Amino acid sequence: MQEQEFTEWAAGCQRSLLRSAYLLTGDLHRAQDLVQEALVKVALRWSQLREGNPTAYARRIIVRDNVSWWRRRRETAVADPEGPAPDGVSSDPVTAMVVRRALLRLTPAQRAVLVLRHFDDLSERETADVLGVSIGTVKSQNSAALARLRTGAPELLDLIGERHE
Amino acid sequence: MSDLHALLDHATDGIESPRLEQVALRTAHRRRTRRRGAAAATVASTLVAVVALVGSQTSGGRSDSMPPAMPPGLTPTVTPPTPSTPALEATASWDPRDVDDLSGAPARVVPALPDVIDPPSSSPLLADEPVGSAVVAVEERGTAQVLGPDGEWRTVPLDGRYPRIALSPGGTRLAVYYYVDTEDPDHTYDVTVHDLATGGSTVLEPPPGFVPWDDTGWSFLDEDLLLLTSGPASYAVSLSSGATEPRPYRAGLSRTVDPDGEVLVSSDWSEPNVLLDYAGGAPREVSMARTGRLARIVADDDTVVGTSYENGPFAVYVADRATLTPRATLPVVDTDGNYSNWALGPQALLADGTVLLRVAALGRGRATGFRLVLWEPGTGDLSVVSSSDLPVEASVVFASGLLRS
Repeated sequence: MQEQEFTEWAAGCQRSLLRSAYLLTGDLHRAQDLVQEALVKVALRWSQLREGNPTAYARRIIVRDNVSWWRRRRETAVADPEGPAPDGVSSDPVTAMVVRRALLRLTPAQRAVLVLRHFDDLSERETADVLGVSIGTVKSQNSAALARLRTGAPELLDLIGERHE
Repeated sequence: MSDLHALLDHATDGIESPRLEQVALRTAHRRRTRRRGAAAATVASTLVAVVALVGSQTSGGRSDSMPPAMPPGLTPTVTPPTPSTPALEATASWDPRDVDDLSGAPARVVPALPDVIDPPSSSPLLADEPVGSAVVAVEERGTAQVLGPDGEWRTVPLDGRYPRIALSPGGTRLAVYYYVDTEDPDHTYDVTVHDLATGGSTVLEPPPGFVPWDDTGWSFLDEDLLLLTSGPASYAVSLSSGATEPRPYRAGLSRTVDPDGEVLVSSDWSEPNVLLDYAGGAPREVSMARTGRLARIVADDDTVVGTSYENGPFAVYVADRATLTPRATLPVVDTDGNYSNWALGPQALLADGTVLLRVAALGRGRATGFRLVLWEPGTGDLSVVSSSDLPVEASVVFASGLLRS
């Protein structure tokens, strides 16, 4: 019964988790690894998470594991910011490429806040809970991320403008 | 930027569900099986009562005088074994006074650890020559040294009496703070966090309203988040911003942080006999009746390891995190009460389910350092991974994540 509950929960949220993880990493394979590890950890604790918010827990694992991964490898090559987006991530390859390049210009912490707030639509409180930081930190990281996108990724603004036209 | 959501959505609209639920279930099952499988070999085919393992000392008390008395009314109920929770076969006791008779562990079982932890009398300053990370840090006679991945030590100068140190799980940060010094009118409860990758440091302060207690201390939740505990209060403090926020963690007999940064607290003697597991939001209380009140706990996803003498002779317990059903025990000869008080406890729970014990070397009638002993709960095998002849006054701390990996 618990396996069925877990399966239903995982089936319902894993696409969203994978899309978030991809935005965090810019690497679809690593995103899948992060999601799989998060699902495993949720499965191991399903009995205690099932009555709470397992999706928030999974998000927390993904974000933390990603930051840990990045830190362990920060002296080696990470996803190439100038590289193309993987095939198939979007129906619009140009948008996928621009978004990927823009996000990879942010620090991992800024990217995490941006994705949780603006893609997962979490509140500042929910984002702070996932990241284990204060609301003030979420606000400042979000402002810094948006400012960096404005100055460092004008092509992103162009895309948003085009979508309005 | 109000259309950012739509743009991010559009940029990922081709990503399909990875259909990982069955893979995740199988992997979770394998991890449980791997950790329990060896332990299952020691489970009796017929049920042997836990009470048989713990023996008559529950009622008869201990011959040594070291364990603190439990408050009246808190004597745990011994849960009788049921078919769903097979009891453990009685295991022969180990006398840790013979720790130096153990053989060496298989090479590279903990790759980051040296065979001997022996900091030099002096080493280059961390600020001048950063090392990236450290698996172990030693504070001795007013100086801290960290051991980098290349086997080279670096010095972090200290400038106060009664220093305390802590390494972050990944070993990239060293926290230094000082126990209250009544002769120092300028004593503060600040912590200095040294970045082992850059050699730089950051000073963090307790939040407004902070009240110092005897047990006030700093530790790490992860590489960028510190935990300040002080009596009944605890706070998470961001290394990058200094921002603080209260956390609900209670004071207790023992506290640990699992590899995901989640906190577990073993309740103190004056509290109900439960383990508080703060993973996943609201704290979950798990009765410690089956193990006895656990001290010196460490934990991972599904396992808790700790020591207890409440249900019988002093022993190390490996228990299921969800239920605290024991999977394996290592009874320890504790004639003088030294081991139950300070000289033996889990240091780390490794990824393969083996346990790294820190055991003081007391074989010659006095402490001559400590040994890190690998315990395989399934087979009962014990072997020495690393040793140190540092005096007991020295403080030796490890990066828990590096030990696991």
